[in-house]
Amino acid sequence: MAGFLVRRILSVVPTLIGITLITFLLLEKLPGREMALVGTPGAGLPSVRALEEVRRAYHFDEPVAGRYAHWVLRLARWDLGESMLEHRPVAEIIADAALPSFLLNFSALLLAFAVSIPLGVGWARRRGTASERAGATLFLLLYAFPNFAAALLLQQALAVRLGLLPLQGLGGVSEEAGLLVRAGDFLRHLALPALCLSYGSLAYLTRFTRANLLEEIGREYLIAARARGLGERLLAWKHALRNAAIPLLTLVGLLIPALLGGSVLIETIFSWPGLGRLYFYSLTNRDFPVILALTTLAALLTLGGSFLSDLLYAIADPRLRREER
Amino acid sequence: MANRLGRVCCLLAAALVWVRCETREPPRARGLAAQGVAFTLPIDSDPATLNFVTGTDAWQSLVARFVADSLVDEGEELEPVPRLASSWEFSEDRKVLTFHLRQGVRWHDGLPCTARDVLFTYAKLRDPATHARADFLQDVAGVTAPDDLTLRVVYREPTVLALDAWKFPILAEHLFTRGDFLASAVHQSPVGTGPFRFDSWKHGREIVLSANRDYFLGAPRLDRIILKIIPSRATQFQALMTGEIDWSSIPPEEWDARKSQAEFRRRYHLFEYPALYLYYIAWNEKTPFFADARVRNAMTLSLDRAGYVRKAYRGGGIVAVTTFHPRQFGFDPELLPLPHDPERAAVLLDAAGWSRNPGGGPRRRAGKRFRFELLIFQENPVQEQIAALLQESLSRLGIEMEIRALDFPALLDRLHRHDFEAAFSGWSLTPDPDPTPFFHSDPALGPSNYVGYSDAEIDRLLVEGRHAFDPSKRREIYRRVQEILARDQPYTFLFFPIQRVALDSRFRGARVTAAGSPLRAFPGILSWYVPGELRKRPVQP
Repeated sequence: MAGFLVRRILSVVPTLIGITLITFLLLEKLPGREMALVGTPGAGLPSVRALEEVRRAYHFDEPVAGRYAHWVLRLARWDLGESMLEHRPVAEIIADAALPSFLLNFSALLLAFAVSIPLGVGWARRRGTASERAGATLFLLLYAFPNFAAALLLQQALAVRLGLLPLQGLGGVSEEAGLLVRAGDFLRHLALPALCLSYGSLAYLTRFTRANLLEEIGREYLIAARARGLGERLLAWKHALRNAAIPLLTLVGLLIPALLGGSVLIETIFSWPGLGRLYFYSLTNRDFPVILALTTLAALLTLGGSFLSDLLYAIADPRLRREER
Repeated sequence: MANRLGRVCCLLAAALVWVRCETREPPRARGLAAQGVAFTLPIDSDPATLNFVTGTDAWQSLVARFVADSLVDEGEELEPVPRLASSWEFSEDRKVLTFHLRQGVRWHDGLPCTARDVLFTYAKLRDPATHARADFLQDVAGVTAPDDLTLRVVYREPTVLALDAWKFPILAEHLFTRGDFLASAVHQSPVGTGPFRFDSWKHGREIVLSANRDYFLGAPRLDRIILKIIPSRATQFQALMTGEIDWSSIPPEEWDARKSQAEFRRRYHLFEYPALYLYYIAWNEKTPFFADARVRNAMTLSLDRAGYVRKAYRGGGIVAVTTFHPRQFGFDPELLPLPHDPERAAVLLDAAGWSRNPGGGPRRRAGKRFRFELLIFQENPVQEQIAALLQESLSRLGIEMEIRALDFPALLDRLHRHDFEAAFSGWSLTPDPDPTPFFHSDPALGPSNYVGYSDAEIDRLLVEGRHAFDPSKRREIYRRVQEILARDQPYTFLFFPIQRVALDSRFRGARVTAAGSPLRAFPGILSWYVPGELRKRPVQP
């Protein structure tokens, strides 16, 4: 197990270098990086001299290899650099957006799993019934329904017409209010964006759970268990689900990067200051240090996620552990 | 299973209703006693920085207008009005401009504001290392401060634009004694002399300003200004409806219906004003297509600008003849925009040698097809719509136009390198109509003349216009300038958009002026107030 861990961790380094290098080279090809810093849409063009000044100040006139090496060396000292646009530390900018993003994605994932696993199990147990078919159809319809359209409709209905939930933003009850009130306020602001982000995956996750469970339910050990007189509920939840959980755990690992991913549209509609908009904004404004840092973060999470699912595999399936020994 | 899920859902719903009851009292009413009257307005995004010298976005300059002061500002008739300066005078030859600063003005941190701060800000604007845009200062030869309240500006040559150059916000020198100017923490929490103090900036959420009770023109009658970051214009409008914000632009598709609703008119003041902004299509004269003025005229004639403004934009615009805005000095109302006339366009194209077979088909000249690419800004619905309309109009004339959407750095880069055939863009116009940067053929004087327009008479008139101190003479010069521009059509000038905004009706004293937005002219927001009986009005659901 230990050898496996070390090998996995070491394999991350070249992959990470590859990803950041490719990103660096791709950014080099983006036109208008000086213009992004001194140009303004709607105003006159900056002078040739001003553009040259910017090129020199940000070392755009130096060879790529040197600048990449410089960036990597800073990264090795945990220094992500400074935004060229905002002139504040990149780490601070990302931290500002990462927490809202994480909370939103985490709630959306939790919501999706909380609904789809029980439903998937239930549907596997009563496959072919009218309720299963109706539910599956409904989820497929939801899957096909674009979430930004749902967002606008829900805003209009629940926030503007009925006033049940807040329209947008993170909320802002004053700091003097009690913790409970503030948490409640935040959760109410979270409700609509989390719902819009999660419903699309319901169809996929329920089908996934159901299919995996059905595969298990047909197995001989379950027939044997049933013969011993175990209840259907216990069979499905304890015995079958545990085995069906392995593919689900892989899925969890792959979903880890999604926790910090962002939906530009949903974040825009709900004024949610997350990483999706930050990434988009940094790209259209050629804020290279921020783009590079976000790419590195995404790469790390993806690599970490797949590492984690390997680990979860080993925990869920004792045979995998034994083989290592 | 489904039962259990149902129970969980019920519990969740109950929890939400409970939390809602807990917080039913609207935040605005709850904090009222302590916080007073707040004006909440939406902004599309965080300013990149609150560095008033280098910032280029509209939100930065909006905050700067509230927090900082400039020597001169624009008044309700777009005329220069004194702000930090109490008065000024020109020397006989108009080469020396002397400002007298107000006495006793203090920075929000209590220290006195002097002419040295103005000198400092001027130096930062002109320092290449700050990358600040200071084209407006290019005629200034030198600035000195004979004493703490006097500033002496020497110009290379007299210009009518002398005063306009001094509308930039002033920074406090004493806050920047150490460290890197660009990375200074002051740009995250600026200190000014203006009517509002900077309170806080929660990135991605809001910027809060509070009234400066010691403002030299008297304390503002609003207690706070909250700029909420709401990136979607549609959400901004909805947030106005829920009472979260007090000000919002009204989307064109909502305007007709809302305007006629009595309830809407009771809840909001509606303002309508033409913005100092112009949409245009630039035709690169270095390409074989657009060197000929007849072709450019045909382009403008082929496009139904009035129809677009009326239908798609719901009348929210004024078709432009040139860059001269109806509210600017020298606008010639007798010069009319070219009509929509595809037949005349075809005749002009034929005359320019771009002919097509009698049965139709593509237009060619010497075997070369008339086919070009139009660059537009991505995610700009107005540009997308007009580009599609133009594409259709031109295809009927046998011209093939491809549309290519770019983000703003890429598009500006292409314009800068003259690497385009046609490009859609827009200009923010200044109160003064001087169009030299757009049309002068000398790159030093016409940095924005990316179409390569060159006309000897225009060059001469533009320089004369900058030095014509007699208004009637200047008006005459600009009359001729507009005539030539209308004749040559270096750009297809599309329209000046009309802004439509709603303001919560509890605010009084806001009005549209020649400067446009009630927020723009000085004193502007200083004259806004909320009458006592409306101060406690709860937020409507």
